[in-house]
Amino acid sequence: MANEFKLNNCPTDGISSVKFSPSTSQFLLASSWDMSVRLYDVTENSQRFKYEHKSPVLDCCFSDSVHSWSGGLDGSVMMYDLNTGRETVVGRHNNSIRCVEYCSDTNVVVTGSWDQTIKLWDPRSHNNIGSYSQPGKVFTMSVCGDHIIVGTCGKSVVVWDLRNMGYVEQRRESSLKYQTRCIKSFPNKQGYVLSSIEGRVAVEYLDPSVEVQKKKYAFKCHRIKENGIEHIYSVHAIAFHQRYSTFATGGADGYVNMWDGFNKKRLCQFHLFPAAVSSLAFSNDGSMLAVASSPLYGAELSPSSNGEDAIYIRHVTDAETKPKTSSGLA
Amino acid sequence: MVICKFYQQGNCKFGSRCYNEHVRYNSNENRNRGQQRSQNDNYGNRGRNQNFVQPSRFDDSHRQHKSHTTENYSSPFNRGGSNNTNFSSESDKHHTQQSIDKFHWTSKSQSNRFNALTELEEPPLSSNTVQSEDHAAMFKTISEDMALWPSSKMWPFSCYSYAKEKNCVEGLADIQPEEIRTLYYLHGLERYRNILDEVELIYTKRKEELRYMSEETKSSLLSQQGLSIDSNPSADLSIYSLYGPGTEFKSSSSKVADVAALPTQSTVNPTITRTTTDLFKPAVAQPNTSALPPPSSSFIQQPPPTGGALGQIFKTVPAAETKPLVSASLTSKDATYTDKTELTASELQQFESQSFTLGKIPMRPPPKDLCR
Repeated sequence: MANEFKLNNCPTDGISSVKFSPSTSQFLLASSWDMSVRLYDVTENSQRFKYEHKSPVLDCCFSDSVHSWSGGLDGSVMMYDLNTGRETVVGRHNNSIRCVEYCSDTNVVVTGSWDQTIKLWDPRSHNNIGSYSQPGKVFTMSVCGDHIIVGTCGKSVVVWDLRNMGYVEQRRESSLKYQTRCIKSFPNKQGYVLSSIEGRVAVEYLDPSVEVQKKKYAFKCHRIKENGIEHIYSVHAIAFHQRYSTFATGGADGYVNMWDGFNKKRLCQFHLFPAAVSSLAFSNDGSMLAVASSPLYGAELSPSSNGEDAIYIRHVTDAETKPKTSSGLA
Repeated sequence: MVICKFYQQGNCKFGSRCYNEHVRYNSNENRNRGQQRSQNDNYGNRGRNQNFVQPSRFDDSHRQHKSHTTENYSSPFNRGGSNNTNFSSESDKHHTQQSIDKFHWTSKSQSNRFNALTELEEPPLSSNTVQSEDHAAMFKTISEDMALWPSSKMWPFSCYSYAKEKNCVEGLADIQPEEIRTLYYLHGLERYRNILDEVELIYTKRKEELRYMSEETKSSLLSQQGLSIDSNPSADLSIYSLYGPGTEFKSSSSKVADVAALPTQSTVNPTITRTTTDLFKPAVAQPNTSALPPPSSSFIQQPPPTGGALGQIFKTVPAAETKPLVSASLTSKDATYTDKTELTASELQQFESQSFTLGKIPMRPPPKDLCR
């Protein structure tokens, strides 16, 4: 029995983001450079809905099980009602929208853009609650409880408290030496994982006290040695298993690795995917992992696609995702 | 994890296979004794080199392990040192030679930025030589990282800093892969390739400069890093960290200032050709002849402020270029300070007041006359 399959009707161009529905592992949202956002029924392996933007879409998210929000290069924030099939343009940014996230604690949708701001939107009234400037173009964001962690260009990381946006709660530098690629927060909200273009991932903690900060570390991954030269690949995607707090990283090399952040061990590595892994998502119950693979995110800058864009759904087992507790070790 | 006692003595026979954690310093001990020889971290020779005086604390705590000979540092089993090279800043140059231990990571806990607080307790041996050694190490790291960058096939358009918590080196702006891809959708294959070549050239040039360090490059790097070495690294909201050398602060963040900034940009830079300012604007009526799925003309108009963004990104690159993309900085306007006339009323008020109000801190540098 195959534990992994490819979705039908995959987007025709690079897949920028995949997200599972918050309430069920049946539905998956996928945004793509072919300007569409599609909803898939994973159990039936079929495409349920599709709606279009006027430009490539860079991120999408569910605000609840029937509403999806997405943003793209033209800067418009679009909300789609899956029941009525109606699209609404909720607002705009001055430049392309790079990330869209939903915070369930405060019931707000946050969009981050290359215009160096993040904007908050109310999912019900569709009003823009606020616009907050960041130290640089927003490259990645992650919701952490009622906080939001924003990674910008120039290696800055900014933590905002969504309940009190009057000031920046924490302003830090990424502890890696190169461009930040992705940030995801731990399910226990103690910290976050940050990846860079240099095949390196850092695990950091939010508590600024010295004892906690001493626990932070970084490790190398997604590097391949060929003929004595080490090729270093960007780590494009990180996804957390909600129950076990282990995380998966996907890189431009086409591999997906599972890591146990607390014991500092790699749990497993999946097979090589046909193209670079652009996005990862675990379902809420942790039974499935969606892997979006697109040659657009590969190491070459050339725009010609040498492979196809595809989304693979993998049923993950405990052996692959659960931390190993071995006897005899501390 | 349990910290390996034998490794701390410099003599762990399991080396990288050891199940315990190989940490140079047990931080609890340091606080108790109040001593820290953290500068040895950079050279990784703590246990091996007999020339260093073994502080008494090691003998105190591991007296019961006398059976492990502490003096035999050149023993072939002492592979304890190799694990540490992961977290020193110079270690990156070794990453091609190091065996990557799949099951153990070394913690970076020893070389976090709070080390600076304890380092102050050390009696300065000779502050000049120590500093120049630091600088030499910094130059070496930068040079080696630049040398490795092209061959490693890493994303070329990224900012870079030579060590954690240090500011980014000037001249290398942060551009995401999605932004580059956007150019392809906006301009079509031909234009995209041309733009990409030009941008790549700028980056390659800068990396070459950093790799083959001239005196000029060194002095500019030092002056840029100067503030960060002396200042307290744990002061997050220091003015310097807000206005750091990163180019992202040069472009204004407020909407009002955007409109104000653009006219001055275009009047001062007559040398910027169409290629720069149009980079993020949709291709005007250019029929897309190559077979691409999304026609570039269907893009919604991007507002002008983004058009200047790419030009502003390369403002800090030294002005010796003749290439049109490199805006040979604003010669009549100093990019370190903003004109008083350009600031909004609230920004001006912030600068003139005694201290900044949180939440209203301006994103742009102050005018020169307001700096003391």
